[in-house]
Amino acid sequence: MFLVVTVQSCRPAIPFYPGIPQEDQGQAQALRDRVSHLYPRSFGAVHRGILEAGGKNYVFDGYLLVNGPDSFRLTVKADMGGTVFELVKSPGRETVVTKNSLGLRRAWLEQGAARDVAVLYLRQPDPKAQLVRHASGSWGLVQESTDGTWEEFVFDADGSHVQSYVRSREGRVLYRADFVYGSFPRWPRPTPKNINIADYLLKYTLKINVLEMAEVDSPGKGQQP
Amino acid sequence: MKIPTYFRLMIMILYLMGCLLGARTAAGQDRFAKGPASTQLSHDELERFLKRIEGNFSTIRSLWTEFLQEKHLEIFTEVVKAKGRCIFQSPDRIRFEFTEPFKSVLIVKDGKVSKYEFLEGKWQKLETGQQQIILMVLDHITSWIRGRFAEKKDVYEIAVEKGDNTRIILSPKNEKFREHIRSIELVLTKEEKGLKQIIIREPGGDYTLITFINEKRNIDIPAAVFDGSGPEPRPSDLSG
Repeated sequence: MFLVVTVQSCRPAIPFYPGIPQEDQGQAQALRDRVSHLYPRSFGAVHRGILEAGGKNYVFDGYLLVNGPDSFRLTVKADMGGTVFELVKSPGRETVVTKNSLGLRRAWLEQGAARDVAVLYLRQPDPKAQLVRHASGSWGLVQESTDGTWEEFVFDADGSHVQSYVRSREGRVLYRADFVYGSFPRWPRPTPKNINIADYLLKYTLKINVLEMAEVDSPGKGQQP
Repeated sequence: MKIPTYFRLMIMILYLMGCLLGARTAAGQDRFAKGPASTQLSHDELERFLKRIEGNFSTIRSLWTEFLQEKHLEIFTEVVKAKGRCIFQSPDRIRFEFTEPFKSVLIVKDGKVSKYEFLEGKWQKLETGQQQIILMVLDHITSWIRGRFAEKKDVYEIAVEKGDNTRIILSPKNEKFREHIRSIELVLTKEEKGLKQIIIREPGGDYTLITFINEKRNIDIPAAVFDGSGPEPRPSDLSG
């Protein structure tokens, strides 16, 4: 969910196999509901992340506060303190980098880290997303995001959990996030506890261990994204 | 990406700060949260104090201590907590690890860094991109463990404040550095023979409070504790 240490643009080599379109509005709606009800409207989460880029590993702690579908604040710190960077997104506005102590490229933070937060916690399937089914039995909701780029929410065979989020173009996977579910004392439904992200364009992987997640009533002063 | 050396240095100093000195204490309290507010020493008093502390700490050959970490963050109303332990063997072996709510181990031995993270049910040995920085920091850490704070006067302004517990306050001299870390406070035990707490303060109000408990000093520490050669870290608890 965070920074990109190296940028190496090259044609990703991971093929993407599309599912077979299905016509089942009821199933499509049920899958959309799975995503929309996955997290509380406002919540805080604590993460432990391992970034691998350029053959090296970097460990960070991420603190996230989400307030609604289009608003968040992310603070990323080094192991024992010291803010690495901070992002703030307010409703209807672009993500702002409010702190950047290592001088990381703003584009990486705004488009990379902010994109990761959106994918993991905010992004929703469009009401017009196409329902598909894969050979493995898993379901998917597919939609076109930008010119030629497709994104898919992949669900397990019984449609009970979002397994993955995949972005692809011209039959190649550009980015994917895979979820392993767990439970938290202060949120009644299972949510992703381990998240593995692979960005094949920017050549990094990110393993996230969600340590804690809890609903907040409404962020107080100083917490507002 | 070029990471400023001074900041990399301080990240690792902070990372290893928990292993400085042994301590015994009651459960950590947040009465230090608002910063020091007691009598400061004069320059001559400071010099005498630092020499005395160096003498007090000079007997430390090994340390095994647990710690409680609290992160007080502006983003949350609740404190983020963690537990761990820190082990030191003179002259330069250090192991710093978290045990709850995640498992992470950092070992420095014979000039080599080994880092492990427990993820998805298994240990992963990492190729950390900060080897040289950690080793650079070791020089600082070793100095502090031996109570040689004066050796780092080129990096920090050093102040000492007397109160219920004496505090050594390190303030970075470098302006850029201060943009990231406002100060590091080392809270000593009442006897001034060990470290009770460390408080790392950042601009903007966030701070990390580390409280040391269950200290064991000058015990024989198994060599395996500092073995970073395997795919997994060796156990570091003393129950076995």
